[in-house]
Amino acid sequence: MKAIDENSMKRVMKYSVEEAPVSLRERVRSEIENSSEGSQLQSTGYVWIIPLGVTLTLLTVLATSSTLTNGIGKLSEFRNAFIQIVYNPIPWVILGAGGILFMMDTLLTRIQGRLTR
Amino acid sequence: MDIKEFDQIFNRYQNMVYTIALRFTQNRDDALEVAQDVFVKIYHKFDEFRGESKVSTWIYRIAVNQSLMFIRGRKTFADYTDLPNEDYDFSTIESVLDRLNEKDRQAFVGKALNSVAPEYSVPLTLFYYDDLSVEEIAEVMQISPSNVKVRLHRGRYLLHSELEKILKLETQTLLK
Repeated sequence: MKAIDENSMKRVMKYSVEEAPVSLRERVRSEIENSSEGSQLQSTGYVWIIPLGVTLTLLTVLATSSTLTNGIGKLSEFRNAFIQIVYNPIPWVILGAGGILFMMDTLLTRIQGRLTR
Repeated sequence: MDIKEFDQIFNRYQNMVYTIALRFTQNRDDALEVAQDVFVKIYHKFDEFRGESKVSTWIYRIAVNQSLMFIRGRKTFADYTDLPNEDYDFSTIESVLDRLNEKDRQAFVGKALNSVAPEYSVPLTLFYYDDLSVEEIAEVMQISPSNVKVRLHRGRYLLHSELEKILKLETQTLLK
C-alpha cells in the first residue's frame, strides 16, 4: 500500500476551487435589497420617513398641548394652534435639516456600496 | 448584520460556496442560483448564528443543505464499497500538472472533480483546500467522522483515477 503524499495532494487540490462569477455579488445585493424583511439595505432608501414622522408627531403633540392649555375641546383653538406651528419656521428647519442629513446618509451609503462592489 | 460585515463574509467565502454548489448541481447557472440563495440566507440568518461552530462550518453547511434541496430527487451518491484498499501517490499527477499552465491545471482538476460524486469531491475540497478537520467536515456534511474518513479515502482514489484518465487523454505523452 502506497503512502499518500499529503503535500502533493494539497498542491493538486489548490486548483479545486472555482472562481465565483462576478455577477454573483450583484445578484445577492439585488436579492437582499428586494427582500421584504425590512433589511438594512432596503431601509436606507426610505429612511427620510423617520424625520418626517417624528416632526409631524411633534407638531400634533404641540398643537394638542397648546389647545389643552388655551381651552379644552375647542376645535378652533386646536386649528389655530396647529396653523401657528405650521407657519413657524423652526419645525420646518428641523425637518429640512433632518431630511438633508438622511438624504446625504442614503446617498453616501449607496455610493459606498457601489465602490465596494 | 451590517453591509461591511456581510461584504467581508461574501469576499471570503464566495468561491467555496460557489464550488460546493457547482459540485452538487454540475451546472454553472444552477450553481449561481444556489450560491445566491446561500448568501441571502446568510444575510438574514447571521444574527441567529450562536458561534457554537466556526463561521466557515456554518456557511458550508448552509451551502450543502441548499445544494441538496436544489438537486432533491437527483441521484448523485454512489457507495463504492468495492474500491481497492489502496491510496495513490499524487506526486506523479502533480508533476504532470506542473508542466501545464495555470488555466489548464484549474480546468483539468475541476473536470476530474466534477466526475466524482459530490459526496466525495466536497469533503476532499474542504479537507485539502480549506483545512477543515474531519469533525468539521462531518458537521458540514451531516455524517459521522468515520464516514468522512471513508469518503476521503475513496475520494482520493476516485480523483486519482479521473485525473489520470483526463491527463492521459489531454496530454497524451505526458503520462505513461
